[in-house]
Amino acid sequence: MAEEILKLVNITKSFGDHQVLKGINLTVHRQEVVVIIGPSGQGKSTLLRCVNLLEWPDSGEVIFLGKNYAVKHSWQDRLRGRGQEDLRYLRTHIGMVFQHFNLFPHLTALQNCTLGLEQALKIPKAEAEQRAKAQLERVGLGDKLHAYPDTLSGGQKQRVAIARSLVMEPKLMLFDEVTSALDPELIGGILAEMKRLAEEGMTMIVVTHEMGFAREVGSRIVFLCEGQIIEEGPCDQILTHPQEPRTRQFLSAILKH
Amino acid sequence: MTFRLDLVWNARLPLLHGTLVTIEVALLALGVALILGLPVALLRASRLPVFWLPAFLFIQFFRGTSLYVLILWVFFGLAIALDINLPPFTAAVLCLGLLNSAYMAEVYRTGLGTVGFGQYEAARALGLSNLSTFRLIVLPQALRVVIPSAANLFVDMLKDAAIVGVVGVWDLMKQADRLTKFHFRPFEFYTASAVIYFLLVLGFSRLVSVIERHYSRHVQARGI
Repeated sequence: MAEEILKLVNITKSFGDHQVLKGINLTVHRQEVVVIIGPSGQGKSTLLRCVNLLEWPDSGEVIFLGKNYAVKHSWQDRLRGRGQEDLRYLRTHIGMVFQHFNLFPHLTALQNCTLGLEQALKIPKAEAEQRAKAQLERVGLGDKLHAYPDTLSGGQKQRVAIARSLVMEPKLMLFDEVTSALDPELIGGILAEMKRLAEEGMTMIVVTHEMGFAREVGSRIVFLCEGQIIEEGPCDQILTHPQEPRTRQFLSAILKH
Repeated sequence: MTFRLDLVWNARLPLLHGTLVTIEVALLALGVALILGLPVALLRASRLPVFWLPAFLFIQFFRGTSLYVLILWVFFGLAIALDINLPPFTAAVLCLGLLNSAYMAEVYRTGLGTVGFGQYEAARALGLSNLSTFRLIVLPQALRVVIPSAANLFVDMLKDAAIVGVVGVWDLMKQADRLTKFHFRPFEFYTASAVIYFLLVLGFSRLVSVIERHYSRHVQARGI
């Protein structure tokens, strides 16, 4: 088995009285594409956001490359900046792409991509620009380097967002329903981009409703419902012979149309 | 009734000097408001009462105070009560600045409110520190909203600065007053000062629209 990139151990998370995650265990190995499916509002996004600690789990471990990052530091350590330094390491090594792109509207496509390199990785401007330019060219936006996000189409925006993450050379990519806000004709292009990434060996966790993509690209499907992993297994098996009634119910509902 | 333009022209130096003092008072007070308004706005946005309550009271107090009363109180009242003798100019800048920092805090608050949660998330996901996120992502976007409002505030401050003469600052209005009383020609000198105030406001508004355009580049590109 390939190296363990990420291991989530017994992750729980509540918002007020509502327990969104009820003890999630998940391991992701190098070059795996783990697809998380499930009904809306059942904790998929929250789980993804716990991975790079945009959301702090109430309990459990987030082990990235062998080290647990979900640790509350003592105030002495926090004063010394240790927590910040750990967080910076985790987040610069995990890329995340959002449903609504979240591009920085006051920065050009190129500046969106150089920001993380310059600010978080302290890479000199010239090199950062070179890398960002190369990355934007790879996603087919070589002619939009100096365009502001508002002048781009949804598909182009999402490509910039993907480039912005990839340019950091992450070890793991998180995709949070990245095609849900796109016009139908633009979805294919973004999925193709993600497929290319998977073929290049990127380790990915993908929250999506695109079952075709899951079947074609995913190494494994995780069905998340009511804050728990109901079922987990190879894509074909889950999609064609789900064992759990709730998985069957969900799949028949979304595959109907 | 003749308009003695020659009197105004002969008094151009004191009028010009007064104008410069008015600009100085307003600019320095703007500086105070800009600097002080931001922390007040940030405190106001906190969920903890120990932070937002003082900020809230600060804003309410200065919004509910007359500049005229405040200047007199700070200049004469502090001297009597606490033996703090502020020079007239300092007292004027301080009062105008403090009072407007309350308004400025609200302007900042509005500006910060326009920056969506997704922007913070994206910046954090890239590994930016909270400070970098604020400095590079949040503030520039907030400024686009803040600048026009701050400019309006500054225009008000320029005009409100006309009362600083009550504590003995030789601003434009006090010079005009003095000249009026010296020549017994209120029409000439009050008209002159009105024209100067008008030109100041006009000139500054032009400058602001240039700055505003700079911060709206990305929106302009879309043709809005």
